[in-house]
Amino acid sequence: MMRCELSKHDRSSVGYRLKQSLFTVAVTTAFVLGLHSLLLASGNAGGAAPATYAGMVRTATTADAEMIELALGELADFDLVYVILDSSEGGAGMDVEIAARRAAQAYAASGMSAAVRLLDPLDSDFTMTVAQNGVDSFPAVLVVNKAGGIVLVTDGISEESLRNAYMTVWGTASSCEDASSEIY
Amino acid sequence: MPKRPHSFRGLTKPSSEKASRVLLTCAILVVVSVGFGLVAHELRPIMAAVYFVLGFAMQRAGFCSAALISAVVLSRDSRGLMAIVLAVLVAMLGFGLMHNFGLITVYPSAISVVPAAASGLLFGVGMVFAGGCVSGSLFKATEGRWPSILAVVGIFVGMALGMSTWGQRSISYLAQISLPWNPPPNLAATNGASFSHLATGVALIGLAGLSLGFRRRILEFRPSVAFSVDRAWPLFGVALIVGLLGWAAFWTGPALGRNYPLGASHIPSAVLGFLLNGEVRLVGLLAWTFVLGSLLSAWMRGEIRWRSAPKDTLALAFCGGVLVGLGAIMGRGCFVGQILGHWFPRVRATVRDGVLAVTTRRSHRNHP
Repeated sequence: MMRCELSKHDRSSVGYRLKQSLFTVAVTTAFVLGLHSLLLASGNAGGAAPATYAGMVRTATTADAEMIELALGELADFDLVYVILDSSEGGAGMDVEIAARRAAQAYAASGMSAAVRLLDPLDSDFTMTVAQNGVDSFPAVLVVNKAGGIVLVTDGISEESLRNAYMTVWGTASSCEDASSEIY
Repeated sequence: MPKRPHSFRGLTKPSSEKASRVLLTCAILVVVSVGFGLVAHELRPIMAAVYFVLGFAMQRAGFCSAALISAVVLSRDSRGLMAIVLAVLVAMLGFGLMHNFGLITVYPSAISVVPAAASGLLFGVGMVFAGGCVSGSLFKATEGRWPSILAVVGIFVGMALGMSTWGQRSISYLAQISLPWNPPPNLAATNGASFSHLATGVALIGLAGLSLGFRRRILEFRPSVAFSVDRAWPLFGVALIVGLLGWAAFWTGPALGRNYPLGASHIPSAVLGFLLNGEVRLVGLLAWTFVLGSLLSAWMRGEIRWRSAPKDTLALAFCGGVLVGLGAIMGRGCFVGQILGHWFPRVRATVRDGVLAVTTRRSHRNHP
């Protein structure tokens, strides 16, 4: 390996001294910014999670196996299913479907099997699913975790809100409105 | 005197002028690919360019994880390990900053402990026997090293085994008997800002500490001398490049539908996926530019020549390749993906890291 040793003369040159100063500034800045980042991290970790859980309600626990089975329908093999419920003739808005598919893709990428199920009034499971979960506004999304239960999302449906909804069931952070079920 | 039959022994090293011209042409192609990708919002040419540069850079410094880790055990030379740490820290910094600014979305997965440990064991042992992980074997194969060529064949065989019905059933079985473990960084943690701040902070302080440790080298570093066209590049320079390429891969990876920033295992697995299942994964196929980059670098350094080895070494390299391939499928990634590019977002790597170190040490004790 080739080594480029600098002479004493080179080390006392203006260029070298300038390099030294820049190096000191850069390393000090990195240390300070690093410490600042760690402080921010500890502050955030102790505080409330930035995710909001407005518009989400738990409708089923792990014990409600029949409800979960009905909501999962033919997608019973999946760990997580986003069931989109829409009573309008045109079906669920594309935005809702895209958001659900993206969220499902995110979880699929994380090693879980996730899918999206569309239910409209013509489907045989629609009426019973709506009744069981107390859905009164549409479009709505049921986040059905085979191992965890169901969370109903009605307001502000987005990829982020659907991912957060999953976490209220299975993740560590939980501030979801506890409407009809015990914490599980 | 009878005339000896002509046999191919390798490619001659090009002149510096010719090498410079070819390198300039390739650099222009890389810039055009990246530029086109940015303008057309098409990430695949960017990915191809990233892998071309990765292959070129890794061959330049012989950035082989097996060799770098083995050097720590065998000759107490920790430079390679420090270079790996540098690559990890640089990648981590990019990951933290991009996540902080909302440029990337992180999809970390929970650890399946038993498959992770088993894959780490297979991969670690295999890497030492094969003389390199997936990327190391690939770039060494371009240099005409028969052990590495056979290791690559073994990697294909191992991956085919892992992707077969039998392999998938075995992996599922291991996952079923695995402990449920989903520690941070998990999906809940990554939704909070604390995760990216932590990554940024650790990376910055780590880089600052590393810089202080190598202060004199950094101050006396001359890029024009270090990055010459026809000689090896410094390990730390290449580690920096690998880390920075991780930034581009972090950004392009999820957008291309793969939750896997920078890795080498999908280079052979994409071919296997096509051959076995007819599945066309263009991103994986484009990553073969890694081999082109390695070939270019090896040719410029005059290192493309057939190099054989005793039969038992060749057999061991093949078997090692099989283990590496199997481990890569089982652990869903190779050394580059799990350690260099993905360490922070996927805790699974830490399991492998530990197992890897142990297996490397043990294997070397038994392997002359």
